[in-house]
Amino acid sequence: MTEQGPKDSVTTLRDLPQGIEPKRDLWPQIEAQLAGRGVDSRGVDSAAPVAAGATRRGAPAPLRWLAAAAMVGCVAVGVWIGRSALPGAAPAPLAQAVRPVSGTVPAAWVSDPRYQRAHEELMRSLGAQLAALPPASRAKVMASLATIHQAKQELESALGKDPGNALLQELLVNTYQDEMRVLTDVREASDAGKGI
Amino acid sequence: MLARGSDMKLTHRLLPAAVALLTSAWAFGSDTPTSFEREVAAQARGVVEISNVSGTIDVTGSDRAAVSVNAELAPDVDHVEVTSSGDHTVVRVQLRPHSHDWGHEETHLRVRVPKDSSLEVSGVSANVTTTGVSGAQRLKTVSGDITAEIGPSDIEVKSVSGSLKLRGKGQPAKLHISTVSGDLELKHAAGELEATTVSGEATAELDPARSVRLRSTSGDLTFEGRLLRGAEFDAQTVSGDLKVRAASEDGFTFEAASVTGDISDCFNVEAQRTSEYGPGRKLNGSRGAGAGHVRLKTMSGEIELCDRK
Repeated sequence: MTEQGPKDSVTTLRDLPQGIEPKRDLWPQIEAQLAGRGVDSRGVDSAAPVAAGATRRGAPAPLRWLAAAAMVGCVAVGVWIGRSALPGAAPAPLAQAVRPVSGTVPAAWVSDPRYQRAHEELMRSLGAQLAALPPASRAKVMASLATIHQAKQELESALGKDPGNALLQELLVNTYQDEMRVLTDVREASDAGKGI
Repeated sequence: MLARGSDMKLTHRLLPAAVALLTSAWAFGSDTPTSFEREVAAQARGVVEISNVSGTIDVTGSDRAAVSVNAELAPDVDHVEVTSSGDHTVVRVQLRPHSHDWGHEETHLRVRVPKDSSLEVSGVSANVTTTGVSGAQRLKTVSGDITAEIGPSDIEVKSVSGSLKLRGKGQPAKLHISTVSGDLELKHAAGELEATTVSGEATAELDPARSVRLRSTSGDLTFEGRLLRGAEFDAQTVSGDLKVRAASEDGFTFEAASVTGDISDCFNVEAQRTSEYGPGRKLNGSRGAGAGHVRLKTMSGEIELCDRK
């Protein structure tokens, strides 16, 4: 009872001892085990899993969690390298995911029926409206629309690789808005040409 | 003989008239421009609406309470409408039906308006120039260039492919500018600016600026000026570069982010990666007292930020 008295009085983490020394020196035994299993010059042991398994049984719980976390980390890095870092390594499912940008804010916004209606209407009359513009202006507008289209594709492609990227989402939404602005401006411009 | 002699006299009398008639008819039908002049009374702070399809529209502010029009009309012009009713004056070049022949038939329109008028000018391929107008201005073209002197009032400038050159005198105003492919050059302006372009390049100079919003898809954006205390500065592109040189007595906080482009500054703060493994760089921090806010965003453009003009 008198020995347990100080432990009972622990109220904060600071009250706990900073380090607990083992009762004996563990290194000689570890060294003997490593030597007995023929560790190569790189420190890789072919029988390591068995030995490690035997050791893990006695290992403290935090070490096991650390090992598991490290493995998950390695897998995640491997997946990321396979998906994005290696050129031409994008698998078919990823390529499909790139197009609709499913699950992202822009995709939800673009699928709004009001937006779709307005966009379709503007696109339907675009040919006639472009024809009503002066030739030089028409060429420039077509080049600008192509620029917007390319920007959308690049943003959607980047979002396919990083769907949670808020900057890309914002830029994509703004690019969709810019496209609508240009289409509206072209309509107004062609109307002005007829009306003046 | 007598009858024949009187016929000869009549012929001699009518011949010059017939020649004059034929000449004027030929002149009307040819490409020779016809002069036009008209003046109507107008209110000092009224609205003046001017439109012309092709050629030029030059508008000058004056101290007179009148709108005067002087023009060389292209052959395809039907008539020029100049009307004034209440505070509204209209100057409109009307073409004959089916006379669109882009860029060939040019009408040159010079209009003097009371300097405090509100101006609404629209052209298709006509170049627009305004000088000495201190009222609000709304200027629109499709492919025509716009050159305007900015007064103390709000200005809205819109073009599809025309280039825009706007010059102020340092008087604060609200400026709304949009173009699709035309370039923008804004000098000696002040106040609030909102400018958007798709592929045009925009260069803006505001001193001082209270609020600046610049947006582009592929065009480069360049700003130089001074920010007022608490000023908001927001610029973004998809692939265009962003160059900002903004002085500010009370400093500003800054957030710059690029997915694949570089970020640099003139105050030796290093941009950081947004994540250890993925792409993206950001530059966050504060200069001076951090009273203003500067936000710069791009996907693949480069960002240059400096806190000096």
